[in-house]
Amino acid sequence: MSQYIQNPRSSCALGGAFATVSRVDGIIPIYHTGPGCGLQTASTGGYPTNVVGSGIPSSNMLEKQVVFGGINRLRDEINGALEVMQADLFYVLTGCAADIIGDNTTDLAEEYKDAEVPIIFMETGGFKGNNLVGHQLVMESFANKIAKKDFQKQDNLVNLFGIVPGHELAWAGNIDEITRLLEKLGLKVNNFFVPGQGVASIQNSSSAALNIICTPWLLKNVEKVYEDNFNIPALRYPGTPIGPTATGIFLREVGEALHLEEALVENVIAEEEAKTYAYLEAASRNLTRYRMGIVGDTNTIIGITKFLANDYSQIPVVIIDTDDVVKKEDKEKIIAELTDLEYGGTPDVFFEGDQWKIRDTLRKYNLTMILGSTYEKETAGELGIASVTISSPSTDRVVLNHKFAGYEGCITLVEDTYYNY
Amino acid sequence: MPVITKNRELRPHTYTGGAGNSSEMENKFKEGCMKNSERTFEQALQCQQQNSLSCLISMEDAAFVIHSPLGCAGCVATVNESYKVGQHYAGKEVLKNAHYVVTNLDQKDVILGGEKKLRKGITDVYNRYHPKMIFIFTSCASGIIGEDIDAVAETMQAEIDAIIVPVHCEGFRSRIMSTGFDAVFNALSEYVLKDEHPVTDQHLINVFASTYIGVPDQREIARILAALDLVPNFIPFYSNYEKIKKIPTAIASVSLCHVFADNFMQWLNDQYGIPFSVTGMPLGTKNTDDWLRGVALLVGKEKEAEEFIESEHQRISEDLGVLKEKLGGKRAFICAGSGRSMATARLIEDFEMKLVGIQTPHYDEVVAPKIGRLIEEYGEDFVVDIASLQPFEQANLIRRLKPDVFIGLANWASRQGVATTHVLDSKHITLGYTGLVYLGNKINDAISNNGLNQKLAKHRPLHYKESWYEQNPFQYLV
Repeated sequence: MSQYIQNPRSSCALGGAFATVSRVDGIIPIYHTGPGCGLQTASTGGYPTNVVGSGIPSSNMLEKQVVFGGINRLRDEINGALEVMQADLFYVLTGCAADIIGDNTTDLAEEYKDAEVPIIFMETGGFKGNNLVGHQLVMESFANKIAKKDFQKQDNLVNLFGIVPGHELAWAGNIDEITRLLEKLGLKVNNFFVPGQGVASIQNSSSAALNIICTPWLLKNVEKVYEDNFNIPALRYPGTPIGPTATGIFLREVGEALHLEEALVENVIAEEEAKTYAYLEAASRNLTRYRMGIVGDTNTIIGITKFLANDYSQIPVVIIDTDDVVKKEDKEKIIAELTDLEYGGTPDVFFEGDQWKIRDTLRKYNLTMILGSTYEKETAGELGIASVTISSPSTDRVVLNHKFAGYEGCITLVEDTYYNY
Repeated sequence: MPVITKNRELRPHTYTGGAGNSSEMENKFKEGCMKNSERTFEQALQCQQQNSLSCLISMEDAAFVIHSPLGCAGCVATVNESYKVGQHYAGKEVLKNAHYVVTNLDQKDVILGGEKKLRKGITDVYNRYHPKMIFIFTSCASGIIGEDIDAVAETMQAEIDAIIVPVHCEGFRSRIMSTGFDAVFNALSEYVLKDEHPVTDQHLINVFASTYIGVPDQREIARILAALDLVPNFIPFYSNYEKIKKIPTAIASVSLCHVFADNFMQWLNDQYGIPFSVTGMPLGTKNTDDWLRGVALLVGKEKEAEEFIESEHQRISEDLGVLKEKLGGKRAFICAGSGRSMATARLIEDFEMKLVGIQTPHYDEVVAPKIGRLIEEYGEDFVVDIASLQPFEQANLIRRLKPDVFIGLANWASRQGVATTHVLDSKHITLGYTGLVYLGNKINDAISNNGLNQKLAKHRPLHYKESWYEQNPFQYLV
């Protein structure tokens, strides 16, 4: 059973589904939900989306629909959307109200199977789980319903998954940086979410030679669908690679999995490292060491901890994973990643999403900096120590294409942690 | 007995859908032959739960339990930031988060009920913060499965030393988001204020201010009221238990928005004999003059008000003259909540601008005379669209009307190339005479460099079919 959460950092299944579909150029969601779900689910998760909350076509279920059923209202809504909205694809997403009263969208889907613009129907009522549940449901439907069934393998084409839009704070910039590096290896990258990729990238995803899945625990369902249906193997990298050490390991793993020429991979790494260490050397001239508390989603904390400890002489003391990781084996894998550090000692690791308990845990340590969400600013303020917003929700800083990943991202992270007052 | 708030749409002569030329609308309303329309296609609304939440979240000694799945607290992270901005401008050093717990209703709870989690949430949030009040908010999910939050509140009240206040604000219940404000005030009167026997403070006036009236604006309102020897008791933004308990001791009540706390002020009048004034948001000289005269009449300070009004008009006349030169004749389209959009339409009269179109979420007995007055003051007609945002209609209208400036929620219009700005700003003074000059300059700034919007129109056009712009913008209203 799920627990209550104080100051939650994530949205519901509908929110996760929205954050995912609305980042693909050409997809417009249609909500079959209560009247407020559009604004509620779109107000978390950052930018950029195709439609902001108030622009989502929505059946706005009111008492009448809740009592008598909302299918007729939804039919009108879809017809209107087909007339008004410019889209390559529609996703009809249901909310709590529709799912609890049991509106039958399966029959309705049948009516629209030959619509001029394809429409995919999904049950995403908020009570089904958090945003990561929604993201994984949508990603699976991408593989099942959009990826081409008649595909032709392309040796240099890869899919990049695992950096979850709207969940990881710097998701867009991180995807951009990883894509840049993979392209330097001569690869073509389907990442679905960065502007310009669009529905075509999902359609072509079945032709990929490799799925690069940057997460230690999510998207097992998606990995399986691509393996079973399209015979695409997966390379799992546990988190978002940040900094020269982690990114070097990541790129070498990709090179091996795709049998790329070793010299090519090593040249790219050498070139990037030369640039990166030049900046790190400049940063070392006024290096301050902090004893850090690091709070956020799994990918961000793994990437940031590894970089700061291994490459930048910081001391991660306590790390709090705010994701709802339930399985023991997943937790163990994440703890192993966070504690197997080249330098900087062995931090304590906790899994906790509740703001009170996070604050309570942080206060038990002798810290000089907190890296976390905007919520942690309060704790840092109480303790009189520095803080940087590196995870969601971020309401005190705007994050568009800011990046932590790879080589370029670690330098912006160094810039972020510079602190005078 | 649960405090179930009457939906705003059930108030007499209230319309949530409709559109047309202003005189036509006004005549129909007067003759009682206006018809309420529904949209067969529409975009997402704001729900009443969001208004209930945003209304209370800045209450500094309260804690909150939202009985819902995680998504229904989506807007609270943003409202939390407004609360922190307020603390910053009030000079606080350590900025506090609002303390809210979401019960995180899941599949099991939807079938078996989530009462246990709700109880635990209330107990724990009490033990964590020892708040003076704990507000419980419902959601579509908890409402449909029939969670009895009143019974939970009642039984737990015996164990807990904070006032537990259930707020019934399920999103699906009302089409008008302002119903959520009423739900809050009804809950406050039932649970926090009942059985008060106040002694009147001759200088205290209740000033009901919705979420987005920032601290700088609160200060400006305090300065204005000082001219009448009054001290404001701002409710509910940046407020607390003590301020709520003081409500019945005030000598008068006024709101900073015509849709905000109107029924509650009536209740205070019935219950405690506190007179009140409903005018509109004090944006621009005309609205501010009316607002201040309304207050002055309640406390017998008409003379002081007139003196103050004259001196303030004098004070800003030079700045206003400059702004008239820059903005006179510019054509504006306005989109905001009903209170702010009506007030803004009158604000821009100060700059001798023209009104070409206005969107309001609802049309009722309070809005109608305001529209009538605008027609009279402008001497020209404009388009009225009764719409809670509905950016697809807006986009079509903007393409037709080609305004020089769009004032309001500009996520959409900015992608059509029109200059855009907003009069909503919690970091500066926007209200009263000082605010007028700030807003005039802000509007002029938008017109002075509109390069980004022009480029967005080219590179990031809206997701509507080109054919939609050729259709009647109101064709989905039936």
